[in-house]
Amino acid sequence: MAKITLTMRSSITVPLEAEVITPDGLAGKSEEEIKSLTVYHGNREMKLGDFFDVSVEGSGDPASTEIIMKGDLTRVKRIGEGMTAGSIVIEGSCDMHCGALMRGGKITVKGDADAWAGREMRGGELVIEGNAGNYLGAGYRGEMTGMRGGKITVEGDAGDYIGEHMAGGEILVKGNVGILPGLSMTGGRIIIEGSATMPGGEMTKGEIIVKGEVYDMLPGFRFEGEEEIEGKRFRKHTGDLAVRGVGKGVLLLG
Amino acid sequence: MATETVTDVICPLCGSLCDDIEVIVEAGRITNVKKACPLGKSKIMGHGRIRAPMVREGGELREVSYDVAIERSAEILSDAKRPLLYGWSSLICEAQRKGVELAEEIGALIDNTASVCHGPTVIGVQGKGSPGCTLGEVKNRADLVVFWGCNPAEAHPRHRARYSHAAKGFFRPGGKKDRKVYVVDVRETKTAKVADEFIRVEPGYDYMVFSALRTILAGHEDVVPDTVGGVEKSKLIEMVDAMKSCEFGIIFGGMGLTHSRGRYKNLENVISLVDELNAHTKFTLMPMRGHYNVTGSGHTFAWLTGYPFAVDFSRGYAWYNPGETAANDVLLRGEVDAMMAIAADPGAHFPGESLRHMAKIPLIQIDPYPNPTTELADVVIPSAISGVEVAGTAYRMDGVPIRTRKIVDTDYLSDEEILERILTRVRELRR
Repeated sequence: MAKITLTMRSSITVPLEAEVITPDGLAGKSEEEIKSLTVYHGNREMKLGDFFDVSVEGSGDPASTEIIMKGDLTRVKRIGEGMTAGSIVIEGSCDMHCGALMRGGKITVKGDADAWAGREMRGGELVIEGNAGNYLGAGYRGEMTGMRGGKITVEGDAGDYIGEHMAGGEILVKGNVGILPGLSMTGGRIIIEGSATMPGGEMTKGEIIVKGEVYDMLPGFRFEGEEEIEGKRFRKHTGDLAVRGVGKGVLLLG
Repeated sequence: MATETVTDVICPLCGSLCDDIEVIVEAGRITNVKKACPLGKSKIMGHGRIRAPMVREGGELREVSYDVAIERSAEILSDAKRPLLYGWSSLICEAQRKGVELAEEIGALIDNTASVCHGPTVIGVQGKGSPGCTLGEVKNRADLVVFWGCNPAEAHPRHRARYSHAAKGFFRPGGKKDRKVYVVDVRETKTAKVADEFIRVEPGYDYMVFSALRTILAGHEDVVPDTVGGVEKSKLIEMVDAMKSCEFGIIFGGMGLTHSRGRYKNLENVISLVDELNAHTKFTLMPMRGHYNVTGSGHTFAWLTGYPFAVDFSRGYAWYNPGETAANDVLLRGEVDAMMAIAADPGAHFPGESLRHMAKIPLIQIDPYPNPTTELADVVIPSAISGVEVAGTAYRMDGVPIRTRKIVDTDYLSDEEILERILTRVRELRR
């Protein structure tokens, strides 16, 4: 077991790109080695130690490494990008692309996560205890496949276009979401406990469950009758038939 | 006094790039402009230029030499950690190319006015493709023209006469008589008043209307509700029939699509509609681009960096992610620590919060004309007017490159020369 604590010394306005902060990137390294890893601050190449105090307890492989992040991390991007194992606990809010391209392990964000959290995620677990921004579990611009696997849980609200181009895995949002969740979805499952606007646009497969209010239901969905899930009745629709009449996604509205 | 008439001048005002303008020159000065619309005439005639380079000292702009203003600009840019180079739409491609070189050298974000204009169209095209054509094809072939969320009668005054409505084409000799024109908008615009059909959509419901049209086109009109976004189903069915049965259709899209709810998703949806209509007939789509060479800035950025706007060079290579790297994304978050505004007026068009940040950081303006951005600028560098005092390449809204002409001489430096001199000095400072 290894516990690595990274404490951000002061707040910054120019964002820091720190995709090196993963259990894979830090496991087995000494405090000095971790401090000398490269991070990017605007157009300057800097060292991780220029921004963070680092402490390392114990040693281990990525799977047995836990990273604890403290301080003001609201301008630290790409934390946990591409991680395959181990865990990260962010004790506060973080900037964009947290857990992007993640394949395994677990990230817990105690505060909010900005846009593109869990972007193109393939496996593992991302828990956001606050709110998530736009494009949660979506794809990068021009990428035709978003999240493929793993699980994202948001305790608060999420923004627009969550699960865009999603092909697998599960997103659970306990609060409300913005417009067009599950846009162009081809697989996987999105559960929204609060409200959603125009869910399932251009979806061809996969499932979206909205337990709260739906604003502006899209016109290309066929009502298929009622269905019971865990003792609750849902109205089942399939679509989006706007997509050449072949959309076979499932929209369950509570 | 010698009077000369320069013919076939390209108008450097809007994306229509009218190429039939006549300019009257007397003793090296432009005294009249013929055939242009009032907007274009005003631009070519020139008005209230910035007299000389200026640097702000003690809150006041003070006139200095080009050398001093260029030196100050180079210092500001080479010191910055997160510089933003914004604008690039009312100048020629040759200057845009120099701008990208400067951005790469200093690790800057470079963004053009598409960012607050047709950027969503550009993103939509990247997602779904570009079912385009030239304006010549519209003029000669189109028998169904849809102006959706745009108002050419006021924003592109000669567009309808030259290309899209009254224009007499090879297969449309009757002009207006041979075309059916739809206007879809949230209000009855001047263009709507001269159209054959006006369809009013509730603000923010374009995405749903496109979905309904696509669902009807796919043969599932039974699931479509009686009204969608304020438009009756019978009207939507009629519209699909008109689209399917025309010989050559075109949708011109405007700000009504790019800056209402759904933004680039409206564009992705309408591009798919156009794609699906091509199973029945020839159908195309074109954005009504504003600044005369904003299309060119997208092309120039794309062939040099791979991306059409919002390009971030901070890590030495090009990264693009509107929502993260566009001008207002970084200004609203207060990330930018130095900015250049060139050939655009963010002072008049950006949100208040962005302007508040622009007022806090060193701001360099390069432009022929003073505008609200000048009030915030710390360094002001006047430039020659591209397309009037400098010749170069511009791209029309349909992506056709046209070489603009030089009509008169000037003592002002061209945008390209100013940028070249800043770049040379930046390289010396960074050595």
